[in-house]
Amino acid sequence: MKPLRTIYIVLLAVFILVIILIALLTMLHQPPRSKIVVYAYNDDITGIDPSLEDDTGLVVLGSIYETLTYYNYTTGKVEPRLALSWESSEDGKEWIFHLRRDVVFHDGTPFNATAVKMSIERARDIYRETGRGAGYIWDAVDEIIVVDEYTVKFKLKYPQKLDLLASASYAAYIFSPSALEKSGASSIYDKALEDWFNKGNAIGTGPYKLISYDPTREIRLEKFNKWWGWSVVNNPYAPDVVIIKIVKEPPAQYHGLLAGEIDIACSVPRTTIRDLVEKGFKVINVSTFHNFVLFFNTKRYPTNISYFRLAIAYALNLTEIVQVAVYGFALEASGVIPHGFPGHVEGLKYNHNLETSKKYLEFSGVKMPIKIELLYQVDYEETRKFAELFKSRMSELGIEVELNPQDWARLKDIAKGVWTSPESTPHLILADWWPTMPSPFDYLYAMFHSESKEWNFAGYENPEFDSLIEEALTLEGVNYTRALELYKDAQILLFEEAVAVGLWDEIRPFTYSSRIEMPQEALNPMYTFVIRFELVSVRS
Amino acid sequence: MIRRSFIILRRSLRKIRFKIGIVISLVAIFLAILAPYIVPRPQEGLGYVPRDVEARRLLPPSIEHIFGTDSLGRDLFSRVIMGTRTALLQVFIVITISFLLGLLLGAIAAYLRGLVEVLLNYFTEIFMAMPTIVIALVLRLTLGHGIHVTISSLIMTWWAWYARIAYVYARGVVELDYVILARLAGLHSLKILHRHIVPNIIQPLIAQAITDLGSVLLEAAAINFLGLGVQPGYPEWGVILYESVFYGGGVEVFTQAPWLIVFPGVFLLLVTLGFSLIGDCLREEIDPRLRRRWRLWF
Repeated sequence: MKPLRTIYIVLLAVFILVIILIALLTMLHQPPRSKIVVYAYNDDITGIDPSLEDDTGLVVLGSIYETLTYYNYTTGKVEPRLALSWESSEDGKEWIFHLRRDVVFHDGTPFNATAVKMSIERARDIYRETGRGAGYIWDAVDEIIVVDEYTVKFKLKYPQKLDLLASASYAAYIFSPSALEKSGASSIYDKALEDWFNKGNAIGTGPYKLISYDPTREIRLEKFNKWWGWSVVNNPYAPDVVIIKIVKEPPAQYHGLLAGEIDIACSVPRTTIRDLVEKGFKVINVSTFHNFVLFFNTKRYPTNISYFRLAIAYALNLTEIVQVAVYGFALEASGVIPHGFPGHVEGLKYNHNLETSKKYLEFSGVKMPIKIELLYQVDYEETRKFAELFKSRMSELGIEVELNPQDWARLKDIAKGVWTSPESTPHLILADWWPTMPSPFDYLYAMFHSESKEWNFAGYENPEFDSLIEEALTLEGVNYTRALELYKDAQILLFEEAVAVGLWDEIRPFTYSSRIEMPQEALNPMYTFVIRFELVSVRS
Repeated sequence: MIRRSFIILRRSLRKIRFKIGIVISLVAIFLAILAPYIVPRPQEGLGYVPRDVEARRLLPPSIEHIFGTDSLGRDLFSRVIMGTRTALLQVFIVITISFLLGLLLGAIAAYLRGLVEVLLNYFTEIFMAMPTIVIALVLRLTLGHGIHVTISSLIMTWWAWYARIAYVYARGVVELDYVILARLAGLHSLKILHRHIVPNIIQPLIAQAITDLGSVLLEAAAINFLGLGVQPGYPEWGVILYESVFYGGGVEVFTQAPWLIVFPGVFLLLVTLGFSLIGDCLREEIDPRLRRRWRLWF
């Protein structure tokens, strides 16, 4: 009996050992969870063409591609990125950029001046031809000359602060010339190249390379070990794999964080922040350059009457709007350029006063009651809440507001109609904006210049305003202080005419798990929603 | 016909189910008519956001706000009661128009026969195959927001069912001797339809209409819940439910603010139940073949 019992015990011990061994081996083969970071983003990705994308694709592009320079929002100055140094001629019409020599693209091809020329020319020319993308930032660029392998010269039509433009969040990314061959495109303007990019291909120089791309579900990025900057950031704890997960509903992001399925969330409901902090999650509140603006259709009665517009502007209580619509997570806007952005002007706020409002209403000669229509985006809780609040407050003035909620694509189509059929375009349009380049021109041109038919939802046409910002733009390269003065004058003009009302500049809480360390610099408001994962540390 | 209707009503009144249905429906009608005088804050009921939102956001039920408040600080009792008015208005307009249209086209198709019958039947079938939500979506894009979108999209799909029922019953009636004789005697078609056909097919149609009240109510709420019908903030149960689920600023509606969904949900459920109970009992009396083999305890 006894020897048999011993055999059983030995067999059992061996069995347990084997189980433990198998478990250990399995664990060794699995990538450690600690090196993966899941970032929940709240919208579908609209595309990842580095030259043409001008919307949510930025979230992905910002980690895969790099620009020549990088805008430091704390100093307001640009820093070297793919360009190590640069200089300009005295008249600001000629710029030379000296490029880094130790840079390779994700496919191993070396980075050089030809790649810079090709990338910028593509963005500029496609915009000139079709109006697509954000290539307007290169409007001044007349010629790009490859001086040598690592030097590139820009000849401009008019003076520009090109180092600032080169740090733009759109249309300034450098892609590998090998993309042409891989996509089978005959030239950089061939549609095949655009399709190739948007099908989920990317060859950049950034710290992460694209592994898989599903724009409505998730995008997977992997650490690019040959990135030139690893020795600079010196962060051994940077994630090996980054998953950008599309989680549209804020409550789903909240639950994802609690369940440990999400590490960083950019859109948890604002009311849950305190609860998350109590549960050990960390929060960084980013004062973004993402602002919300109420445009008046200046081509349709009665919003074509400036007194009527002023009446509405003075009836708006921004303090109440910020509390009700965004639970206090915003700064009350002053003008249409957000706080902290170059060219922001304080004091461009219509101080809420119903008496003043009623006075302007009387001056306007508009007979009450009157019905006006408000167009706004349906997928944002804050815009929905604003719309209902606005309707209620306007009813106190005898103005009936008809609400017209639409998804973003439809909203843009309707709003653009202000140029072709103003009488059927809503009187008021609530839209949001985040910048492409760190210049006031970005906001003022896109939203109010008479040539900007794509984004000027007010249908505003004023030659004085146009010439002010055009002159300011040309002065940016030679006399920046004077340029800012002109931008200020242009904003005062908008304010006096009440073409649009800046409502709020968003403060976005990024909530993340305690196993993540994220410095404030990882979230640069200039590159909206982009997280610099190379600066993020993952601790187990 | 009136005598027969009276008998059906008297027989139905013997059933507790019918009585419950009648009570619920009468209460709903009473609330709908008197809503602005009953609710403490009629303006908020219509969507007005009060001045002191911060202090009144998501308050639980209390003496001051018996159904609590929503995420914009509005009194939920006022919203839900005012919603009764919208709910009943939608239902009655949809059912009345669908009923009349269906009755007319169904009877004409059966009476005229030939090409008219074929065309009208195809026409009816096309509309029967159309999903209400898709129609609502198309109307929303073309007509904008409003109660007219909800009502029109429902009418466009519901009339066809009445037309089909009317046609089936009328087909039997037109074959009857007295209708054939009336035709041979040269009586005007309108008179035949009016005197002999419609009175003989109207009862099952009425029963169907009453049964459908609940379904139409639910479907209208669904259209509005999806944002295809009335404007945001409108006092309508579907909209109130939508606001509660997606509008609560991320609160856990089920655990933290259950009143947001319980009250509009219960009202929707009760009124639907009331209409269904009445419709069920009437159908059983009109067509005994439909009488269920199993019985409810009441």
